[in-house]
Parts: sequence; structure tokens; C-alpha cells
Amino acid sequence: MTNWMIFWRDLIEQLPLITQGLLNTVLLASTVSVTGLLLGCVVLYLSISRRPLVRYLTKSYISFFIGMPLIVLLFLMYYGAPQFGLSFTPFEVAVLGFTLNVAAYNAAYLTTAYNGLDPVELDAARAQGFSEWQVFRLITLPQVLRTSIPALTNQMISNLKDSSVVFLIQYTDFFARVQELASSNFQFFKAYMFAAIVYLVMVSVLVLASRVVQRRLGLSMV
Amino acid sequence: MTPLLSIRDLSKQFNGTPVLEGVSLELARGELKVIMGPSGCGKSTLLRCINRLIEPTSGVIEFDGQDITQASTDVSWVRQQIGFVFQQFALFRHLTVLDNVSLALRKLRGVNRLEAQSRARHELTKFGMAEFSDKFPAELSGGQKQRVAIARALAMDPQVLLMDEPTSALDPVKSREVAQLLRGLSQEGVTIVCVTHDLSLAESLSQAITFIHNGRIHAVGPVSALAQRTEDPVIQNFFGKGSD
Repeated sequence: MTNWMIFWRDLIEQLPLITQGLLNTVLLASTVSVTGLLLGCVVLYLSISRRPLVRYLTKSYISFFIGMPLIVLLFLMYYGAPQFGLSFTPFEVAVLGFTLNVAAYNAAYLTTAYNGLDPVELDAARAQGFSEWQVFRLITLPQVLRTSIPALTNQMISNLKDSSVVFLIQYTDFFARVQELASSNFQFFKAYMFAAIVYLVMVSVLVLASRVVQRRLGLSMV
Repeated sequence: MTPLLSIRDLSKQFNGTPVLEGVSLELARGELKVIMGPSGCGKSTLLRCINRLIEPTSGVIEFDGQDITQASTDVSWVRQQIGFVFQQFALFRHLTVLDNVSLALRKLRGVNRLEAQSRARHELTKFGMAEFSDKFPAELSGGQKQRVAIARALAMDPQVLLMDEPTSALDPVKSREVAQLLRGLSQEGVTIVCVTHDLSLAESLSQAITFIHNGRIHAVGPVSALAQRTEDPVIQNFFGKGSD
């Protein structure tokens, strides 16, 4: 049997496990993209608060989680927290760790977009009688989300790619299954090229979807 | 007759720097008051204080007999009664013209979407903007944006309309249209406070203007009479520049 035949045989044999791993990857990446965005919006709302202490705390949060390597955060939660009686499943640690990290990045992107808003537009909303929360929900957030679509898409792509580190905390994602495939037949190059192609296809789908959304929303933000 | 809007001894300081000092004004229902003055004299701050976008340092603002500077005042209600049209129009970029005009009706008055849009269309029709209902602000000219901004403010049926430099971004033809529009609104009973640098707009809107300088009311009177106050360097400086 040639090396290729061995690789394809093992790939087909392990396809159910690899598919399950792929689903786990998609589940994790999509979950943290949503939770990271929601928490990012909350952090943005707090970061533009009129209370200096709240602004300071949210800016500290952003700096702290952008400054901390994700893998360190995941290890702290998965391997460190049990020493204090706090145990979580790999998925829980992955979701929590990624969410805290991704939210900090998203909040930074959203803050940049917020700084580009016309403050008079927000005053116009206040002048009509909208509360601060309504101004944020109806005027600020829709605009900063639209402006941030390219950055948020990049973050989603990062979430997908970075999710490959979670095998280090025992979460059996797509990459973990590919590693098993590689070590079962020692066809490392082929296995990792296969992984690279699958990631590339998933990223391309995200990029295309983002372009469609941007095109549809483009006119209103001219 | 009780004034609809009464401002007494209004002062505002920013970081200790006085921007308004002891300003007092009264407006009867349906009155159109024009406020002029050099840049930075406090005109826009005065409008923002009336609408409670800025908290005055001292003084009283009474709307329909009620002191609206009190902490207990329902600011949202005040703002719904006192519409504000900004110098830069400040339309919501992500919303269509129709949504710009109907949003507050839906979210603040609880009017359902169809009814709010119907009322918004009615308002836009009055200003010749109904055909632009589905356009976004970026697709409109300055004059069209101005009309939408006024329609948006009037959709809430305010008793007072504050206008900050309504013609600063418009050509003379559009400026005359705005003047005509404001006179029409005033005749319909809307009380208007209009801040402007535009002498021809001021003359066409009101027989007497209120001239503010360094945060204080410096003079009140017809534009033509003020322009003849040759002994007053402040007035001469402004009117000389204004009529260039």
C-alpha cells in the first residue's frame, strides 16, 4: 500500500470521529463568536458610561484580556482552578475563556467604531427624548456593529482558527481528531495539509458571508 | 398672557468658564424668536439648556408654567415637548428617511409601526419629502436633510421647536425655503427659537432679534435698527461681518 492509500484508508475509517470533531469545532467557534459579541457589546456600553469608575474598570478589563495569552487563560481555568475546588468541563472552560478573550477584542473594535460616530447624532436622539439605553440600542449599536463587520469577521475567523488550541485542555475538536489520524499512520504532512484545507474552506465561507452582509448593508452607511 | 417658555437668569459655566450669564427670555405660544450673536457667544448652549441636553449652572426654565430644571423633571417628556433641529441635521445614518421620522413615535409614544409610518409619511408630505421615504440620509442633499430633520422633530408634535443654525449648510434659495417653512409653522402655532448667523433669515423671520454677546443678552430689536447702532462696536463688528 502506498502512503496515500494508507492515509485515505485511515481518513475514511476515522471520518465519523473527524466529523464529530469538526462539529465540535464549529459549535465552539460559533458559540464563542456569539457570546464574545454579546459580552463585547456589554463592555462597550459600560465603557461609554458617564461614571469614571465604570469606564476605568471596563478599560482595565479590555487591557487585561487582550494582554493575556489565551492559552494561559485556558490553562489557568482548566488546570489551575481545580486547585481551588472549581472544576469545569473542557467545553465550559473553552467557552468561558474564549468569551472573556474575544469580548475584549470585540469591545476594542466596537469602541473604535463608536469613536467614529457623529456625537451630534447621539445628541439628536437624546434631544428627541430617548433614554441613554435607547440611544445605545437604537442608534449607537446598529451603527457600530455595521461599521465593525470587517473587524468582527476577522475575529470570527480567529475564533475558528484559535479553537485548535483547545485540544490542550482535552476538548476533542477537529484538530484533535486530525492529530489522532496523523499519529495512527505517521502521515503527518498529509494529515495537517488536510486540516489546513478544511480550515481554509471554513474561513472562506465566513469571508464570503461577511462580504454579502457588507454589500447589503453598504448603502445605508455611505 | 402666560408665556409658554420662560427663561429667568440662566447661567452656565464649563469648568468655571462662564458661557451664559443671566439670560432671561420669554416666548408666548406661537412666537418665533430669533437669536443671533458671534460664534462662541453661547447661543447653542442656550438651546441645549432649554432642551436639557446641558444642565444649567443656575437659573430657571419654565415650560408651560413648570420649572423643568428640577431634578424630578421627566426629561424625556420635556424633550418630546421641545423639539430640536440641529445645525448638521443629525439624521440617523443607518435608518431610512421614514424610519428617521417614525422611530420616536414608535419607541417613545408606543405607536404601532404602521400608524407611526403613516404619520411620518404625512409629516414628510408636508415638506415635499414623501417620495424620499425609502432613501437613506447619505442619498439626500443638504436641503432635503434639513426638511427631514424638521419633519422628524415635528412628528412628535412638539409645542416648541429649537433650531440651531438651520440654514448654515444651505444655499440662498434653500435658505429662503426654510424661512418660509418656519413662518408657516409659526402661523400654525408652533413656538420657535431659531439661532442663526444669517441676517437675511433673521430679518425675514422676526421683527426683533435677540443679540447675545459673551453669554449675555446684549441687545434686542429689529435687525435694521441694530445695524444702525454705530456707537456699539460689538454690534458693528458682527453686522459688518454678517453682511459681507
